[in-house]
Amino acid sequence: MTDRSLVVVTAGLSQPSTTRLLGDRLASATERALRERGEEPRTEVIEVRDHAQDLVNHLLTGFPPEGLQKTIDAVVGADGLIAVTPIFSASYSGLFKLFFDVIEHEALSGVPVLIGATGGTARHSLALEHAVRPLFTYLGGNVMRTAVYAASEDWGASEAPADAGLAERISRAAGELAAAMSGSRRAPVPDRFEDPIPFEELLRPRTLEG
Amino acid sequence: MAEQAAYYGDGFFHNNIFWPGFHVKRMVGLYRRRYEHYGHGPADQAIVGLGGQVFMRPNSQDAIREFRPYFDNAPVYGGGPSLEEYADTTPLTVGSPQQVIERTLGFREFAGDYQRQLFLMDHAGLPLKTVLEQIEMLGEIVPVMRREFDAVRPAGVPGDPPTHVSLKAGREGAGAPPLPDGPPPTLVEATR
Ligand SMILES: Cc1cc2nc3c(=O)[nH]c(=O)nc-3n(C[C@H](O)[C@H](O)[C@H](O)COP(=O)(O)O)c2cc1C
Repeated sequence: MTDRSLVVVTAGLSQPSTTRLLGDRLASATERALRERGEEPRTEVIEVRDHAQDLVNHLLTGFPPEGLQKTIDAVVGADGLIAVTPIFSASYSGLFKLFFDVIEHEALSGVPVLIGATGGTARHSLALEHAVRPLFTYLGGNVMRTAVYAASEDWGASEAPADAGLAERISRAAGELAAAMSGSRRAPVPDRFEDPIPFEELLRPRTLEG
Repeated sequence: MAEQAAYYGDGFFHNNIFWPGFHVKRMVGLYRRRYEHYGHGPADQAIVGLGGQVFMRPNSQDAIREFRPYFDNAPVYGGGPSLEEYADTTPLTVGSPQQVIERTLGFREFAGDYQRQLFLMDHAGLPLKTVLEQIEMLGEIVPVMRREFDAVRPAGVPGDPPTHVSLKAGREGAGAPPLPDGPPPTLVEATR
C-alpha cells in the first residue's frame, strides 16, 4: 500500500458550511476509491477562513506568516487536491481566490485537482468551467474532467432524484481523481533552497533551444 | 543571490528586516552550504551579514507607544499585521536597549555565528532628531553586543569580516595592480 496525501481546500464561510460538506463528501468518496486501488489516503482539510487574516497580511507584507507557509507547503506537496468554493456573485469567492493568489504559478504542476462549488442557484454551475477550471490550469494542475456543483436543491433527502444525481457525480469525480492520483507518481517538486540551480547554469548563455 | 555569493566566495548579506527568521534561515543556510560546496571553506566560516531594525526607549512600553503611529502609517509595513504581530514574525525590535541586545544576539539561532550586523535606524519616517537619539542609544549598546558576540563565537569562526581595506591590502600584497581606495570608514567602523 502506498500512502497518498489528499488535501481538501474549502472556502465556505457559513458555519456549518455547505461547501465543507461537499468537500467532505468528495474526500470520503476519493478515499474509498483509493483504497479500492490498494492505496492508503492521508487526508488533510484546510478551511481557508482559518487563514483569512494571514492571507491578507501575506499580500500586504509580501511574506507569509509561518503557519500559512506550512499550509501552502501542504497544498503544493499534495498527491491530490480537492478545491471547493462557494459561488459568490457568479464566480469563486474572493477568499478562495486569495488563497490561490499566494500559490506560485506552476506550483501545482501535474497535481490532480478535483474542483467543486456550492451555490444558491443551479444557474451558476458553469462558473466551475469559466472561472475555477482556468485558475487551476494556470497553476499547472491536472484538472479532472468532472467538476461537481451542488445547488441548494441538490441537498434533498438521499432518496430524491436530485440528490441521487449529486451522489452519482461525486462518485464519478472521485473515481477520476483516485485514478489520476494512483496512476502516476508525481515528480518531486524541487526545493530551491535545498537544491539551488548552480550558478554556472545561470551564467550559461541562453539560446532559443534553451 | 545567495548562490552567486557562494559561487564567488564573497560574503552574503541578508536584509533581515522584511522577512521572518525562517526565511532568512533558508537563505543563509543555502549560502553557507554552497560556499562550502564551491571549496571556499567550511560552511560555518562563510562571511554572513544581517540587517535589523530597532526602536528603543529606556522603558519598553514607551518605545512601543512612541513607535506605533509610525508603524501604523509607514507603507513599508503593509498596513496589515499589528506592530506586535510584525515584531513577532520579523526581526523588528521595539523595546528597551536590553531587549534589542537580546533579540540581536538571538539572530545566531537562525543564521549561525555571523560577522556583520547592520541596523536600519531612520525607518518609518522617524524625524531626524529622534533618529539621532536612536543612534546615540545604539552607540551605547554596540560595545555590549560586540563583547557578547565575541564571547559566544566558536574558535575558528572569523570575527572580523573583510573590509575594502583588508581585501585591497591582500590583493596588492599578492602582486595585483593597485586598487582604488574605498569610501571612508563609517562612523561605527571608525570607532572600532
Ligand atoms: C455574498 C454572497 C454572494 C453569493 N452569490 C451567489 C451567486 O452569485 N450565485 C449562487 O448560486 N449563490 C450565491 N450565493 C450563495 C452561496 O454560494 C451559497 O449559500 C453557498 O452554498 C454558501 O457556502 P457555505 O455554506 O460553505 O458558506 C452567495 C452568497 C453570498 C454570501
